[in-house]
Amino acid sequence: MAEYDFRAELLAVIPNLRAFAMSLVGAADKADDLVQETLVRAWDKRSSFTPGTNLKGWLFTILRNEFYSQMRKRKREVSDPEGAMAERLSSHPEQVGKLDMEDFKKAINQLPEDQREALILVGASGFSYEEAAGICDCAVGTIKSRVSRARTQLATILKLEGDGEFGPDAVAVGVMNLTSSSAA
Amino acid sequence: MSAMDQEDDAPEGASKQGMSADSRAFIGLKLRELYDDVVAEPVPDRLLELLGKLGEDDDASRKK
Repeated sequence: MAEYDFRAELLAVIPNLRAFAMSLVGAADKADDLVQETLVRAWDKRSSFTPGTNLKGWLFTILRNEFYSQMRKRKREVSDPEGAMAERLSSHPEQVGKLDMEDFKKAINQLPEDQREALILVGASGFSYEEAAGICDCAVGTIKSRVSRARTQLATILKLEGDGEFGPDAVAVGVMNLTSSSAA
Repeated sequence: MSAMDQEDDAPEGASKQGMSADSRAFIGLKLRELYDDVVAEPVPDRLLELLGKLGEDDDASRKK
C-alpha cells in the first residue's frame, strides 16, 4: 500500500483547528493545548480515518469532543473560566460606534457556547449545515436554529439593529467600509 | 452558559425577518476576519515539533 502521508494532511488542517480552538477557549496558549491534544488523539486513531474523506470534519469532531470533556472536568473546579466575567464587565456599550475587533470578540464571547460554535463552524470554518450537525452530533435544524439565534444575539449585543441611540448609524459606516473592500 | 440570555430570542423565522441584510453581512465579514486572522498565523513550533514526534514514536517503538 502506498504510504499515505497522514502527517502532512494533519499539518494542512492545523491553521483551521487553531482558529476553531481559539473560538472555543479564547486564549491562544489554551487553544494550542487543545490542538495539541487533538493531534495526538487523531494520530492514535488514524487507522479509523478513511483517506480521501473529510479529514477537516473528522479533526474538528475530535477537537470539539476533547474541548467538552475538558470543560466537564474544569467546571467542577472553576465557575468562571478564562475570566469571561471580567471581560464582560469591562466592555463599554458607549464605544460601540467604533466597533473594532476587540468589541466583536467580546460580543462573540457572550454567546452561549452552542450558538458560538455553530456560528463559527458555518459562518467562518466553511462547513455546511449538514457537516456542522455531524461535528456537533445534533440535527441539522438545531444547527440552523443556533446560527440564527447567534446572529440575532450578536446584532443585539452590538446594537446593530434598531433600539438604542448608538445604533445602526454609527455601525453603518463600518459596514460600508467592509462591504466595499470585499464586494465580489 | 447563562440560559436566561436565550429566553427573549424570537423564533427563527421572526429573527431572520428582524435582521437587516447589512447586519448579517457585517456579522459575516467580522466573523471571517476574526477567524482568518488566526488561520493566517504560522503554525507554532511546538505543534510542528509534536507532529514530528508522532512519527518518531512509531519508528522508535518499531526499533525497540
